[in-house]
Amino acid sequence: MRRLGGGRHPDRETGGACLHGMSHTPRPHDPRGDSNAAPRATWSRARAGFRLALPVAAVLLIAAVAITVRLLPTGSEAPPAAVASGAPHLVFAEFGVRSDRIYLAPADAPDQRTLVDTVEHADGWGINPATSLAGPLIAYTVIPTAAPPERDTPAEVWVMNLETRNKTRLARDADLLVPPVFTPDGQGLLYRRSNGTQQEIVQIDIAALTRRAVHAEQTTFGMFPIGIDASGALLFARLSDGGTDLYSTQDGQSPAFVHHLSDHIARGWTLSPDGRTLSYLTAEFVNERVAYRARMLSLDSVTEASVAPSLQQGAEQYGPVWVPDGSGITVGQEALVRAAEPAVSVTLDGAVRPLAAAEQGFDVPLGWSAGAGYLAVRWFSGTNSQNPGLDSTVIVDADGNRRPVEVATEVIYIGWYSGV
Amino acid sequence: MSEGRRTLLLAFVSAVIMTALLPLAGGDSANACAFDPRRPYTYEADQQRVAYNLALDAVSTNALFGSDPFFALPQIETGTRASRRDAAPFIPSALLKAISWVESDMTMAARSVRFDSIGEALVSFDCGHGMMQVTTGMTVPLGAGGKPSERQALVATHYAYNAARGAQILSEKWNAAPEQRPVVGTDTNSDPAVIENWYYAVWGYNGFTGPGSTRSNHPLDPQLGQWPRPAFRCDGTQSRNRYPYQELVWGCLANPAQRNGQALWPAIPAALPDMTDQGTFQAMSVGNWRFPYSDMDIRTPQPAHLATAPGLPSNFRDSLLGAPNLQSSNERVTIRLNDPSTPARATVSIRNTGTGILTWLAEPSANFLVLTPPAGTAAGSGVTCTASACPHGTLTIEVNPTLLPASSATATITVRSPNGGAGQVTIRVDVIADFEVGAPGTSRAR
Repeated sequence: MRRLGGGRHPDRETGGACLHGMSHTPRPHDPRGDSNAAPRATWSRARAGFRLALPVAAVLLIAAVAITVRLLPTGSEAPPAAVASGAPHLVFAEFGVRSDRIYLAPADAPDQRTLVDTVEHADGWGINPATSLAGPLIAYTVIPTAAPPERDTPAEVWVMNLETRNKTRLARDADLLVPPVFTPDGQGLLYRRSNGTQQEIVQIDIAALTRRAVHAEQTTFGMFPIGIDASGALLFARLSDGGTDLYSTQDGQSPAFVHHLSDHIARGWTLSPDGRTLSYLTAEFVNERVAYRARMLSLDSVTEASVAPSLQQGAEQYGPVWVPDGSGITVGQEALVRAAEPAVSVTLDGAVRPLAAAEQGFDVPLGWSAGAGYLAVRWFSGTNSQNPGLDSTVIVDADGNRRPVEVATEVIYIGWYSGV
Repeated sequence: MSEGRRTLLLAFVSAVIMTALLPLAGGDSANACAFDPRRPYTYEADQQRVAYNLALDAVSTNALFGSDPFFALPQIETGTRASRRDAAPFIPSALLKAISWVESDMTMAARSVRFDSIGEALVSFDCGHGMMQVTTGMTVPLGAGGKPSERQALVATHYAYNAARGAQILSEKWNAAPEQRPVVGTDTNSDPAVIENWYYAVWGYNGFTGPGSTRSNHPLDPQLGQWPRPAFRCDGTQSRNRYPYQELVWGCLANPAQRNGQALWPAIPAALPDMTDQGTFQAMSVGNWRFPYSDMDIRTPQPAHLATAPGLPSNFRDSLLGAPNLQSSNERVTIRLNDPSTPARATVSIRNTGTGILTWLAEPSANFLVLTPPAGTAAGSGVTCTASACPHGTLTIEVNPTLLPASSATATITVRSPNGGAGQVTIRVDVIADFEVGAPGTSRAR
C-alpha cells in the first residue's frame, strides 16, 4: 500500500470542454476517427496509404521536436533577472501542486518580487533546495513530472543561475528529502543517494560536470551531509540505534568519529562560515518535558557548549542559523511564558541580543542576508512545536520592521542574493 | 494496385499494428501489475463523493461483506499489550476518508475520466489500485492460468470492494500490534474508537519505515526539514516533502476537502503525539526502532477524539451493491488484417440488466487476442452514468499479428462477472490475415 501522491487534480473537478473521459479521446486506430472519412468505396489507394502514414509521421515529428527541445539549453531565451548589485534579495520558491515558481524579492519590498523561473515536479512534491547560494547559483533536488510521486523516487539534482536563468541537471539519483549542500568555494555540490540500505554522499564538480562518491556505507537508518569543514573534510551526521553521531572523512579515508551529538535524533546542523564550529539542535529533558535546544561544537577542540543556557530554561529553541560574520548564531524560542517570543542572536562568548518579535507567536530563523541587514524567518502564530499554529514567511530588518512574504501557498526558503 | 505495392502496403499495415501493440504486449516487468500491460475500466461515481463516503461508512463497521474472507473487516483487537482481545470490527470512517483523499483524492478512475462515468482505472506505478490505492494482492495476476482473478477485478473496478479491501488492510496494520507493531493508547485500553490510537496503523498503511531511510515516515526524521512544522492543511498549498504520511492523513482529517461549498467529511482535529512529552519522545527514539518495536508503545495523544459507528440508510446495500446481472449473449466478430479499409478491431458491448455496478472480466482462449480493457464495469439501472461510454461496458478486441498461428484463425472470448450472476458473454472471433509475403522483383525475368 503506497501513497499515490498526486495532491489534488483540480482540472477534473472543474469540468469543462477539455476534460473528457477516455471514451472521448481519439486514438490512432480508433474506428471513431473514421466517422468523417469518405465512404470506403471512394477511398483511393493513395489516400489509404496517407492515412496509415499519418500517425507514423506524427510520431516522428513529435520525437524530433522533443529531441530538439531537449538539446536546447533550458531558459536560454529568458531575460536575465534584474538584481541591483548589493541590494539583498530573498530567493524563494512558491510551492505549486505541479510546479514551483522561483522568485527574487527585494528585502525592503518583498511584494515587488520577480519571477525567475518555474520548476515542474511530480504532483505534490516540491523542490528541496540547498539553503544557501554559491554566487548566483541555487541548487535543489526535485522529482521530475514523469516520475512516480513518492518520497523515495530518485530525484534529480539541478543548479540554476539566477542571473542567466540557465539550468543544469547534475544528477538523477538523489534522495529528494536530503537537500544538497554547496562546498565552501561554491565549486562543488554534495548530495545523498540511496540504493536499498546502501547510502552514498556524492560530490559534484559543477563546472566539470563530474562526480564521485566521497563516502558510502550500509545503514539501517541514514546519514546526512553537513558540509566541508575548515580542514577540507566532509562532515556528516549518522543516525544509529545509539543516537546521532558526527563523523568526518577526507580523501577517501575511512570516516573518523568526531562527536556524539545526541542519544536521540539531533537535527538542524549548520556549519559556521569559517567551518570551525557546528551548531545543531539536540533534545534536552527538563521536568519530564523534552525540548530541542541549540548547541555549538568547536571542531578544533571538539568541545561542546549549550547556546545561552540561561535563555528560557527548558524552552524549545528552533532553527539555529549563523550570523554572516560567524560571530554567533540566531535561534528562535518557543512562546513559553509570553504571547510572543523573539528570535535571539547569541555570540560565541554568550552575549544575547533579542530581535524584533511579532505581536504573537514565535519565529524560526531561516537565514541572514549578507551583512546581517535582514533575517528571513518562518513565523508561527502558536506557542511551540506541539501547537505551532499558522505559519508565514517574514523578513525582519535591523530596525525591527517585519515584512511578510505574501504568497498563496507555502514559501520554500532558498537563501539570499545580492547580485554579482 | 500492383501486387508488389499491395504486398508492401500490407507489410506496412502489419508493421503499424505491431508497433501500436508493442507497448501493450510487452510491459516493464519491474512495474508489472495484476492487469498489465492493460488497465481495467472502472465506474467513477459522483463528484461530491456521496457514493464513496457511503461505501467507506459501510465498510468501517463491516456492514457490507459479512464474513467474506477477502473483503470483510475482521475483528479489531483492543486492550494494552498485556491484555489484548478481539472486539467488534470497527475503524473510524473519517480515517478511511482522509486516507482515501491522501491516496487518490478519493477517486477510482484516472484523472482523465469524468465523474458519473466509466473509464480507465486509477493504477499507480507501484500497482496501487483505486480510491484506497490497494497494492496488496494487486501486483501480479492471481487467477488461474496467470490471469487476473475475480477478486482483483472487483478491487480494481468497483468502489465498494476497493473501499472494503483498503479497510481490511488498515485493520491488518492495527492488528499487527502488539506482536509486530507498537501500541497507541496504553492509557485508553488502546480503544479503536479513539481516532488518535490509529497513529501507528496509519503510519503502517504507507509503510512503517524508520528515520533516515528514503521512505521514512518517522515524525522526528531530520529529512523532514525544519522543526517545528505547521500542520498539513490538505488544500494543495503545501509540499508533501516535510510530512510523514500519517501527518498528511491527520491534516486531511482536520481539513476536509470541499466541493461545491460542502465539506466531503466532517472535520476532526485529531491530535498528534506530543513530542515534548518525555514518554512519547523516548518511545520514538531511534534506539527503540527495532522489531517488534515493543518499546514504542505510547499513550493516547490528547485531546483525543472518539468516533462512533456511522448511521447508514436502510437501503445502503442496494445503493452500494445493487443486484447486477450480466446479460448473456453469443457474439461473433470478424477482424480482417488484410483490408486497410476496415478497422483492425471489433467492439462488443457488455450489458448489465440488473442494478448497481457490474464488474466483468474477459478471458481470451488464444494469446493473439488483445482485449481492452481486460476487466471493466457496466452500470445498471439506478446508477448515474452520464458520459457517452455509459451505461454499458465496451470490450475492444484487437489482434497481435505476430502471435497468429496461421493466416486465419478463430478464438473465443469469455466474459464473466464475479458479482453479476452466472451469465456469460461468449464471443467467437474470426481473424483473417492472409498477407501475401515476398520480395517483389526477385527473379523477375526481363
